[in-house]
Amino acid sequence: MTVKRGSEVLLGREDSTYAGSFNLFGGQQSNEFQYSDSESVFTHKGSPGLWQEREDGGTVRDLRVTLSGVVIPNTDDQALLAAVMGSSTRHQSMMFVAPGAGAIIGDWQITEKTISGELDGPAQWSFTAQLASFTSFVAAVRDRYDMQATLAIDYTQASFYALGVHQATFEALADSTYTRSGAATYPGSWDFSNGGTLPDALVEFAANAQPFGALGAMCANASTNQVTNPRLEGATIGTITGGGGGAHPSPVTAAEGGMTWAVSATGYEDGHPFTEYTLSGTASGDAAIYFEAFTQIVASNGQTWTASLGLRLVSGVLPGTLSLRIFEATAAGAFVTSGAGANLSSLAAPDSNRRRYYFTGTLDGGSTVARAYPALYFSGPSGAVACVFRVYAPQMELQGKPTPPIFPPVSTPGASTRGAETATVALSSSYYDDESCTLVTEVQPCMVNTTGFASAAIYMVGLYNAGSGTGYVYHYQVSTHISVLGATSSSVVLGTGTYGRTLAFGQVERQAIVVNSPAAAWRHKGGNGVNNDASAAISEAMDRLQFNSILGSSDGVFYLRRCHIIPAVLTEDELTDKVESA
Amino acid sequence: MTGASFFYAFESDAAAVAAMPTHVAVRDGVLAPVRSTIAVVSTDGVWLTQPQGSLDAATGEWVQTDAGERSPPVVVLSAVEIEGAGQFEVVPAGHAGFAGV
Repeated sequence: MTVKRGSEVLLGREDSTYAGSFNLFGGQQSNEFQYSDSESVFTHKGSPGLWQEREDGGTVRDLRVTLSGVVIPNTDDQALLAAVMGSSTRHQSMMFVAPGAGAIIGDWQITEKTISGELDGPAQWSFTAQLASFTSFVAAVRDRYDMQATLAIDYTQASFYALGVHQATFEALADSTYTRSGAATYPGSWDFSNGGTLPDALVEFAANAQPFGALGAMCANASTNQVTNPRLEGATIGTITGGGGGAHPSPVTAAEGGMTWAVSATGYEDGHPFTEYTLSGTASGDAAIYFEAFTQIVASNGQTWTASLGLRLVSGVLPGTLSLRIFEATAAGAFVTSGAGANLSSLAAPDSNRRRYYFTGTLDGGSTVARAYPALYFSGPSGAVACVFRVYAPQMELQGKPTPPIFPPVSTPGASTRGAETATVALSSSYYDDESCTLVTEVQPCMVNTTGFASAAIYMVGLYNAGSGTGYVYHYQVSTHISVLGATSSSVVLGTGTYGRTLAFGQVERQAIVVNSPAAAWRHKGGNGVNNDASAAISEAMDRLQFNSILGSSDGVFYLRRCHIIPAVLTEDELTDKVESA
Repeated sequence: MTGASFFYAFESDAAAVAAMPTHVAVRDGVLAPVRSTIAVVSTDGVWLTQPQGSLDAATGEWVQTDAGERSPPVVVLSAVEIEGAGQFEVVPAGHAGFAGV
């Protein structure tokens, strides 16, 4: 069973004034409830209305219907919609309906969460109800109360785990599609800082399943890992040095530097494939672990490659100075050159945490360079050595940044490819105005230093017209600037240049675009933006939400945390508030 | 699910576009896929047969015993078989295709 999580439809702007009563279930059994933020009081009064009319006509805040989850494929592979109603901190309810047909297949359940003292009824109850369809429901609310519903997707919440759901994926969102050839991974909540920790499990996702985890959905561009055995399969536990029976996982080799090398463990640690080495004896020279056969990875002078590798010190002291390097070789595998690589201790000294390092370098060994391979290099070790360490998931990519680990199928070594992803949401006119709307997104970029990668996007989130395939308006960020582009037939730059925004690893970014056809406006956290620029020339309906793969580009690597579409043109102050507030 | 792997190799970007115009296109001078079932995996070819070699026990240097064979440079990987492009299909020994779990 696959259930998506974290999407919600908010009925009404946060400052909406609700008036009159609303019978959600067409006269059937229901419960009324009302929440007043200003009074911190939540009450319910039984049927028939969902919300009790406030006698004083005052403002009700944060009254919302939340759709979370949402689609559960049944035996006919028919997606079913699981809707959750209510504030997660106040109450929670759930129903299942089939989109389109709209048949109720489960009970609506409302479970009191944290407000037991404030409810004057039973703490938990359930009832069945009829609902023509979710969209008609939302439309009815909108028409009756002149409310504006908004779509919000929150990839960082796991509100359905309590229901026993074991997986939540983007593609299950109603009216959404997500495709990607090849498997992908969620890299343990790594923020992609060089030497950053991976506190969580590395989770592998099959083709067409969107990786997600605590930091949100993992969006990443297509890439090939040229290391043929990144799962490090096939190692033999035992001493390697002197033919002691141990063996590296093929085709890994090592320059031993006079030390005694042994494989002391192998397998998966929280989903992270590893080989554990134990070093002992006395060092007499530089040592290295080479993670690929010298003749395997075809490369040429001038190319920019990125090697990445996980590392954890289990015990002892690592000998010498550690660096992650890219070696250059001839077609026959003869050494040509290697730079100093990335000094691991200067990034983040290896310790008991799982850390992931990377090095991006341009091959400069000259015309004879025809191969390249990644290495963990021990420079200048000396004296007695005693340490145990684990290496994880080596990777080598022909681009200027690391992406999440890519693995070939189990027991099938070989270079392997994660394809480009296409993620869209068809926006329903029932809760969305395709010509006057605001898109608010929250992302955590995974690239900061984009040396050698200046033309590519760090993240891209936008809207476009599905019918014509054009009319894009989207945010993207590259190495030097933040831009919003709107285009009907050709791109119109709404805002570019350096806006004084310095990205940092782990830093959450928020931005908002206003579509007010034909104009557009945007804000980015930090106060930068453009107001109501008619040069956007937006004349088409923006009826699709799309991530990363926009205008044929899918270069970004980022965590998509939240996405919120409001069917209204927010004011400049509202825009600023949206991107600056939590 | 393991991604399917159909490899097609071409001498140039133009040849790739000519053979599969609805699958790849040249954008900003770079061959790019136009659908998610496609990946351009190499512009330097892929191994059709992998090179063979070993570390010399005495010197510690890599000794190549078989140079292997490379495909034409532009290699497109598809999750579905592309009709009409069969003459360009290759079966590389050095690539696992789309990643799989």
